[in-house]
Amino acid sequence: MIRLVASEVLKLRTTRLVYGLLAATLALAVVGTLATVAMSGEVAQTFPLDSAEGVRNVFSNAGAGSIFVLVLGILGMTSEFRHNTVTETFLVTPTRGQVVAAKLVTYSVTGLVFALLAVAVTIAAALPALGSEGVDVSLGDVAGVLAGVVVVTAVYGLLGVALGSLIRNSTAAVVVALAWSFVVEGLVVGLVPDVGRWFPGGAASALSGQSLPGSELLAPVVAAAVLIAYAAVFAWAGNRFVVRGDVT
Amino acid sequence: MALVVAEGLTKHFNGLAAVEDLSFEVEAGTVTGCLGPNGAGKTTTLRMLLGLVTPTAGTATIAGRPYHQLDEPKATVGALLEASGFHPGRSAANHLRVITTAAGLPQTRVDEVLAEVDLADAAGRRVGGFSLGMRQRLGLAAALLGRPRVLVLDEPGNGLDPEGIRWLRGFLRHYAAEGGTVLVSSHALAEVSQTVDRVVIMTRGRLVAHTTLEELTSQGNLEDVFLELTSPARPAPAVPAGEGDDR
Repeated sequence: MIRLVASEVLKLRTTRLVYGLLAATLALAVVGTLATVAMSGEVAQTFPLDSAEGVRNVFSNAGAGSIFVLVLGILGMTSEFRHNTVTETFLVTPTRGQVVAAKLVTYSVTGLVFALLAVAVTIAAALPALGSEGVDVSLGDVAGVLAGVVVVTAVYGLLGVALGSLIRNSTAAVVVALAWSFVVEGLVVGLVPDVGRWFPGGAASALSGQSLPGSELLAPVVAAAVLIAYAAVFAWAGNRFVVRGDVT
Repeated sequence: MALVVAEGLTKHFNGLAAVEDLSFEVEAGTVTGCLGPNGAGKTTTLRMLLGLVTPTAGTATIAGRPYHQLDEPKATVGALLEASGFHPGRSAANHLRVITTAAGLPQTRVDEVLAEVDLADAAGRRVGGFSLGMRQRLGLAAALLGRPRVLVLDEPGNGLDPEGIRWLRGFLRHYAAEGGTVLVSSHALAEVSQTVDRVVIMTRGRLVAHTTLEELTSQGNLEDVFLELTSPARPAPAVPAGEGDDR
């Protein structure tokens, strides 16, 4: 199993995608942090910076990479089918469940690494920006948010692999993931928040501490359980699908 | 001793028979050609032997076991399949390192096999810029990583220039002379006649001949015999099989 994870990591490191998405994640975390500080309390639907919610929203920008990690996980599986490398992968490891397991491990750890780096740059950007606004924050106050961001990003890597196993076409899988995250979840969370907060994105928002005035999200522990349950179900289904199919 | 054994292999895709009740054996130390027109089921057969396609019925074993039960698959069988691919953005050497890492093979094998297939100079180049012939040689390099006893090759001559074809022929003869066993599919009959000792001829998913090349060509030249055996005008062997596409 260690060999297979090492091989998956090598696959990831030897193409350019991961570096581009990491750069995008870090850039978005910094830009988002600075923008949130600038807009908080000034723009409708934001909390003032001197509120607990306002500060949490600033640091929740560390979660900027979750969507990129989701895409990375999806492509980690679908690109094997797109480029037919899956043939060699299954020749080396005919017990295919092990391949899926190695990818699940690899991409959740990748999510963890992305999140930790994003947390670091977010803190580095947020503390001086908040300081210049006269807001003094101790990191202890936002530790929960930062921990939540790390969990979300790691689980999104896993969700990506699972989704890529179910929808093996790269484009289709990415489109479904983005449409779900930005359109379906956005609508449902906005229109029927009681349902939306139980969705993966709703649970992720609860964990990463994003909040809008007037909306109520799940408690972090419940949200973590919900998100992990989604990941487990998708991973189980995706694994069955990959293990059974003919590779032609 | 038979190293590769197919027994009653059958594969239906969506109700269409691609391969029907196919049985044959590949003796150790021989080069066996799997011949047949397009759509005969050659590729499907090789993929069933390698555990990539699950047979509808029948069994396929290599060195006495189904592929997925081999302890060290890469050290037992090397495969080069028509559609086995490469990530265009990954270099040739990294493509091979991914495999040695997963298979637990020494990393030194990467440079060795690249030299063996004459790709040492292209080791660091992205595969996206490779010609078809270079891809075929890289595929063969991947097959050789584990120093396998058996090679299963699907149309390995595709995309090779005349020099590459000659090189491949010499390589296969040498590999068999050293005790290796080869099962190679092809429809390049002229080429096959210079390379193989035994033939398995398929048409419409069924076996029509399983013999030595010598025996077969004693009846006439290979092309004539092949066309006679695989002629659509000839009554379908035994039970009619569907027109399985060549997958």
